[in-house]
Amino acid sequence: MSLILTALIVVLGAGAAYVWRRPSIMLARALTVGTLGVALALATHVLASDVAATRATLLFNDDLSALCLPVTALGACAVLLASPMRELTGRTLASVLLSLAAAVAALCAADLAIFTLAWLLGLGAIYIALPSDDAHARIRKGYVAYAGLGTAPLLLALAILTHAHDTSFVASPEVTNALSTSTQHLVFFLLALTAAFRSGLVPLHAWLPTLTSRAPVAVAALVFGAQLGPVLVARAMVPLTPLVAQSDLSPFSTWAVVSALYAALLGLVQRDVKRTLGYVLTSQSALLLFGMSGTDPESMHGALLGCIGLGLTATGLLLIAGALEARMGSADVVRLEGRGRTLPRMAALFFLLAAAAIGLPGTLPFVSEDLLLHGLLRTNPRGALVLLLGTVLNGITLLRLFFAVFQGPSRERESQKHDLTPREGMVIAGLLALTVLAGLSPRVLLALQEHSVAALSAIEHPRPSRPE
Amino acid sequence: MPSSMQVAHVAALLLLGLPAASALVIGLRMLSMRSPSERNTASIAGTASFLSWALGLVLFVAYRVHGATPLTLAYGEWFGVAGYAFEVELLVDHLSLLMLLLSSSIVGLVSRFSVRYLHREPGFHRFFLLLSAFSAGMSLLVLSGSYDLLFAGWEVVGIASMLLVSFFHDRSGPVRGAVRAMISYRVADVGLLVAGVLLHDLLGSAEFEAAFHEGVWPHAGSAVNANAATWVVLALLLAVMGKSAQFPLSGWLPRAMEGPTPSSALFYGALSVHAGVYLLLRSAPLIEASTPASIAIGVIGALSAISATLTGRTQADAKNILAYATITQVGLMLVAIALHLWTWVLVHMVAHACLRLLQLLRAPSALRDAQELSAALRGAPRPRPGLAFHIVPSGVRDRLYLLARHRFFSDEWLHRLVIDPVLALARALDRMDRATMEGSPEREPDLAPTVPASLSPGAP
Repeated sequence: MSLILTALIVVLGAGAAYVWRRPSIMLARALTVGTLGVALALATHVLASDVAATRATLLFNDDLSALCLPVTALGACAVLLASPMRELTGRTLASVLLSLAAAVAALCAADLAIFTLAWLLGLGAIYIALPSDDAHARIRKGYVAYAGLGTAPLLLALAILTHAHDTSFVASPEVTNALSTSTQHLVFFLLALTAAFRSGLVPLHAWLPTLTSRAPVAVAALVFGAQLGPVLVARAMVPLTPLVAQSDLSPFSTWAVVSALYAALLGLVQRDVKRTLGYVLTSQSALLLFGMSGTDPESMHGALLGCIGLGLTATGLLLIAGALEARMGSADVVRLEGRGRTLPRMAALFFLLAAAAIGLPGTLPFVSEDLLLHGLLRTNPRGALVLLLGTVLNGITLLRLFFAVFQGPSRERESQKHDLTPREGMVIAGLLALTVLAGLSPRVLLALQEHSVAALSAIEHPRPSRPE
Repeated sequence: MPSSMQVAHVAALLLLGLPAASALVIGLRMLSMRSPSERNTASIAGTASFLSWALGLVLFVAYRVHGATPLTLAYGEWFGVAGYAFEVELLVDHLSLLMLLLSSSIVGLVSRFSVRYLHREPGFHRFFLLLSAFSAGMSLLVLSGSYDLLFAGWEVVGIASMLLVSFFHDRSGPVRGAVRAMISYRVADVGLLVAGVLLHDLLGSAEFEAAFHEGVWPHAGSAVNANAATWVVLALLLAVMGKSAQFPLSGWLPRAMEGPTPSSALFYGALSVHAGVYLLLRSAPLIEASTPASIAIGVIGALSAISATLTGRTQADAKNILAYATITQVGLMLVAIALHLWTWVLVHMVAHACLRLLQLLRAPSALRDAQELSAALRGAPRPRPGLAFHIVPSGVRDRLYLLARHRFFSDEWLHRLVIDPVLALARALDRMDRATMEGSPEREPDLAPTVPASLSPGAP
């Protein structure tokens, strides 16, 4: 399995290098479809085998990666099939393939060193997708600064762990417990900073909405599709610091939920479709981190399902935003008012995806929110109330965005614009259908992630030793 | 021969599935065909609503055959993890059957009425799609056997309602009305969600069977103590304030009248607005267990009734007058609920739903009648002052008029205390965010489209 995953990453990397110099959409699509096939095959293998027995190599596939990898690969396929053609330049194609390679490596890493390499590759992939002209120099510098703030703690944590003991995510309890409590606190804090950067916690968040509004939608969708923040919590923060994880998760979860509320609040006053989506999706990412840092299985299950739901809905919504911008030449809400009459399919799919994203019953995010709320209201009632406030604000922002863009009188003279093409429509409707199907029968997904949740719960709630 | 239980199982499933399938088929036809025929769309929706009504009768017969005792129809677990499961369970008793037969009859009538009323309207198919979705949601809401499942129906009803308010989406008024309704719903629905979670926490389940002791509605007892019942009912009351447009969340209902007349009649005269009353009726054992919660319901109901009846008297538009009259009547129902007059409320609700449906469906032709009368008399007849005009001192009357004219300044207070500070904070934080990434702390020239315009004081 390790060999297959390594080969996949190498092929994706080589493909990225090729399409950067000689842009070939067909090649990029073939590579992402191939990755999806491999991811599905590996997921099937994990379902059919004993998961715990495969944890030994540098790259491995367990239930967590079996769950997230196909969604990430599917997102990459979707964006290459349905993104506006003018956005799919050589740089964008290379960025998508590199991001996918980085996501595969990060999701399947069995060691913090491998994860760090994947992390750096992913950051580079995002950087090359940013506009390269002088007008955007400030944004590129800002991104580098934020990425530095998010990566330096990871490197420091890696150095500490390398010096102290094995950096494997699956090190034996004797090895991890050998670290002193103060060192574990430090490692937890450093990894928390990294996760906070990736999931857009305040004040390390500003890069995410800017990336969503300025980078090609294909890259933005992949950033939200591969939820590395919760993965870092599940893979590194909790297993590598077992003595302090339970106590340190509490302030971390407060940080996450306050950040979610902050981003939800800012989403209310945006006037650019993509930037608005950026804030809503950032808020939802932070909520997933909040759920992941909850100390009960229900919220962890909810957060993991939420990663899949967010991946599907974010990709669909961003694809529609990209299609809208490509047709209208602007993503400004004021200029886009009243587009439902000329773009009815786009309007219908945007509404359904937005309703799904905010937890319409029968969709996967509804199941995720239900589990999150049931878990958190018991263990962290104050945080759960803030979560509720955040979801209410996100719901208001998304639905109001629909009304602002697709309903009401048009400010500009009616002109014939092309609605979604059949291919765009099929891809976006397919993402919606998956969200509904997974929402109607989530038991397969819940069974698949049972091992990961049980393992995390066991670390956070160690059984008390029997009295002598 | 299948037992009454088996018949009820299948009938209830079909009853929920048929309108949902109708909505799906109409939606797919809209997406795939350039101009689907009105006749086919009307037939699909009409057949589904007729069959739903007939299946409601089948359920009624099954209930009677079962000895008129509540039927609990279990369909298994939707999803679950250790310690928590979302059970799909329906409850057929005399309360749910009454609401089901009322709602399916009204949906059928409105569906038939709308075929001609909306003929050649650009949104004809959209209307029937949303009508079918509403029908499925309403049936789920009244048949659900738990607060969890009721929430699912509640949400579907809310979404259909919101989209029908903005039916005439080429005009800004209906869209503003829809945004206002949506915001009120989103805020209030949290209450129902919290109530369900609280019950799970207290009892390990949000099913009605678990929440209420042995006994037939409304004579069952509460399974939770008075203190817990208070919190659960207060959470439910928040949800009711949104869905049934009670003070201070009543501002959306008059604005929702911008939708087509059949949907106004169906949603805001007959059914949707009574969903909150149904929720409180269903929760009767919990309300009886808590005096503070009963008082809170009574206070909200009384405030809504008084403010709405005064405001309604200053309105010049027939549908607005009817909207405020609806808020008044629902407020009075809440007062009766606070007094635990369950049968009274039930009769009031059914009678009010039927009367208001008729009034709203008649509203456009009543206007024409009034115009003809006015033309025949060469001027509108002067309204005769009521009793209050003679007994209330003129100074008090003037002040009350001013308050009613401005809807008791509820929108202004909402702006001053909540919306303006929140948006000011968000804008300040946004400028800070932009400065850190983009280096240009420029002020946005106009954020009007993102601010809920429907909340502006001058909005209709």
